[in-house]
Amino acid sequence: MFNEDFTPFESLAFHIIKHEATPSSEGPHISMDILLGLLDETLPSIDQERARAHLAMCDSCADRFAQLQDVSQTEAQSLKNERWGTLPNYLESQRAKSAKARLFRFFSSALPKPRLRRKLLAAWSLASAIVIAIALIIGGLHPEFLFGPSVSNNSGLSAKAIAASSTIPERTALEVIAALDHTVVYYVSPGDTWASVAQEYIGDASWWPLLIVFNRDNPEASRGMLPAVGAPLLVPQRPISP
Amino acid sequence: MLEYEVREIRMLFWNRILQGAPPQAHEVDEALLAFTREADSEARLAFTLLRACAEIAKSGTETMQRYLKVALLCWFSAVAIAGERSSYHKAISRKPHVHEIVNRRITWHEAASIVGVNPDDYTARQRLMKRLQAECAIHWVRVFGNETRNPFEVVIDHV
Repeated sequence: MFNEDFTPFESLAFHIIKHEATPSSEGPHISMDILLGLLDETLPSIDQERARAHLAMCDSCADRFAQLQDVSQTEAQSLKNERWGTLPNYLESQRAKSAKARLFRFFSSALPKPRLRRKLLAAWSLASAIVIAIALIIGGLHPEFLFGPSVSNNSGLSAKAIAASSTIPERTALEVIAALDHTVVYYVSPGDTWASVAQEYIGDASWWPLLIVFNRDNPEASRGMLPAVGAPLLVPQRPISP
Repeated sequence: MLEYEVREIRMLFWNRILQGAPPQAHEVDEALLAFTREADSEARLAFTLLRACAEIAKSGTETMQRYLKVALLCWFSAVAIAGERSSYHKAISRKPHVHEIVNRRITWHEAASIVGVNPDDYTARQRLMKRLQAECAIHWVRVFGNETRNPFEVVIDHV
């Protein structure tokens, strides 16, 4: 701070303070009880002041107190983490608990008497069984009712068929089928090739075999030939990124 | 009362001044005066400085009270002790205790920023020191008379 610009008075004052606060080994040390009381601030005010005054003069007690503070902080932190996790998580869980409790209370109060409740439960179970049975019967006749549309698209394409008739992996073909569900009709123009159409509509010229598979209902296409100029071809509505 | 017990009481009052709750002048006198008259020179000096600081902390202007705190922070923090306490790595509060700041070597600028005063106001610092010196001189004479040499020699009329 100051040695460079110390006045004689300041030098004297510092000398006094130095003598005053330099720890000594004189006198008794304060007990662990008092240190703990000081730590958790349960000591009466005047005792706290005395204890703090002693700490300023006694290196040994000050060290013990500093160690207690460290242990206390570490323990408090670990206890807090163990019990609650972080504070926001704890608050969130408390809020969730109280919301659940409110819901439970609401539904409990809204429920009818036990005897009636048993009858309602039996009726509900019977109704559920009937609905499931009907669904299974219809499902047997029309699987798509239960399981949704099959992986084949409107043209009857399947990933397996594409994979079998081309070098395109089955999984990729599945994605392509999904895209092909949004098809448009393209009319063959002069100079077109399978590769040029594939480049334009699929985004990759090497995917041209897919167009053949997709247009297999066309006799020419099924033989691997591009239909004549003006003939319709089914192509994806938008380019696909293979 | 033993010497270290008297010193402990003085330390209690130093802590109160640092905490911003300085003792009343008569409180200091009642607790220490009787033991100080017969004490060694170090204890006499310490009592006199404490009494002067208590006076300023109680009746000085707010600016002077703040600069007094800055000076005490610097002085106490410059007291060297062996080893290093873990509390040294913690931030210094605005109301520290002596045992939390010893050996921490707080500069005047740092202390001023802790207390919240302009560190470059040299005039305020000078004014404080003059007042402190004058108070010390007054209390030395009051307690120990003119028989012993006054270590805080100052022209008391200037106060």
